Amino acid sequence: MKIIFKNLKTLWSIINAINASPELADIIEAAGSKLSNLFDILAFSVLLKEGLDLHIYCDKSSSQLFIDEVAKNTIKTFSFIAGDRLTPEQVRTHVERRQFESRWRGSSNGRLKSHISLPLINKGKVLGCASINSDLTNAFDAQALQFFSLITYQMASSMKHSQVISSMKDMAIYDTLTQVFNRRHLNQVLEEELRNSFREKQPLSIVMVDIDHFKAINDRYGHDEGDKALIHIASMLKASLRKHDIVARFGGEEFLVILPKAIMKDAVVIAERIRRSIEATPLSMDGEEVHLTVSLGVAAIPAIWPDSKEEFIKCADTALYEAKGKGRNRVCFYVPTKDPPAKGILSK
Amino acid sequence: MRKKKPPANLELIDLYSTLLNEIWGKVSELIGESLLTFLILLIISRISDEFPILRGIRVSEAGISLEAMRNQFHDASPGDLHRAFHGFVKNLFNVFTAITENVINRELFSAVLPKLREAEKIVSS
Repeated sequence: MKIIFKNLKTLWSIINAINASPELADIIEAAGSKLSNLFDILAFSVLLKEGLDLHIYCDKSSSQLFIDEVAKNTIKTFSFIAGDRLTPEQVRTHVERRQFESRWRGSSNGRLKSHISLPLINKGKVLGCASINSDLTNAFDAQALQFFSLITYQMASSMKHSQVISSMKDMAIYDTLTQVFNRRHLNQVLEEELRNSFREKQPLSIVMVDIDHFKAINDRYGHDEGDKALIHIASMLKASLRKHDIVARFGGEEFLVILPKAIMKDAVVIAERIRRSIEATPLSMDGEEVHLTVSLGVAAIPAIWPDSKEEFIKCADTALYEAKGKGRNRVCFYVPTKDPPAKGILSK
Repeated sequence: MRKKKPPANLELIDLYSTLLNEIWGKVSELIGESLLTFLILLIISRISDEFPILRGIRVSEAGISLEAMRNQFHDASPGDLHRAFHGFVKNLFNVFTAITENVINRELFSAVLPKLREAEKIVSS
């Protein structure tokens, strides 16, 4: 009776640990680090359908052969349940070696002899597969199965919750069409970057990008093709930027790029690179090969010291307006005068 | 007056209904109703092209029922019914083996084997 109570107590502590965080990595870690308190296992594995990541938590005495067998078996069971024929090459395997509490037998060069591999299901959808693995024959009984079922049920439920939270977070910051940041998130990031720039006296540039003749594209090819053009430009922007640069959809066919620590000269070089790459990369629209172009307006600190992000954006917008006025498909930058921003000198 | 024996196909549906409910009772205790429902639906979707009769099985987290089949397949031949249910039970065992090796099947053998023999008798009589 005491053993049953001890096991139930351990079971509840595992379930509580799984419930404690909405982060996927923490849910897996909670199970991976605690399951050996409940079962005499040599490894615990989880294969996630999203991303095809296979996490294996194993006792430090596990042989590579055992780990390979666990990986193979987990992939096989998942394939069987999900109906996808996966190979080990398609899966990213992460191995964590730990000292498992239940391992009192010392080092093991054993083979995989028993397993329980349960699908992680939520509302009829397969999220993955979780497995407990042993180098002993018939290591698991009906009670182990009951306990592991409860754990996987809880894992699936927490994982689904985590996915919902993560997709809500994404929806709150990403533009759903182009998958770059939305304007609301842009405002937050730009505010923060401006503060950093002022505090650390570091340069900061922004580039306003506008697709040339976008209305004509929509009129000629229709709105679906227009959306395709927006997606194309967003992906070209992302591809042309440095790792820490930020791109957001400002609205309509306008995008804003934030270039932290870039002085005006660097920002113009980047803007010109963007312009050239977009001009050189055709997009197939309604069966036709179309070369889109963009106009770009650059504003930079310390060339100017704007009072607010709105003023900073207005400077870039003024430069963009100039680029449009000079015939489009070009980069203009904002140079301040003593006059208000809208009357600054603009140059190509 | 002797009670009239029900037709063999209805007798088979009753027998498999008892068997599947017994399997449901034992397995749901081990892995829970939602996972068991998922596995049963998975099997039906995989083999119902071969055995369309199985589309008459109703399953939800509340349990498994063959009630709808009594009307739907009252004219099905006992041989076809038996082959379909036998295929279903065989696949169920395969799935249980894949996920738990023999842990579930060990609990089921004693209930399933006599019923399958009984079903074979009904078909051959």
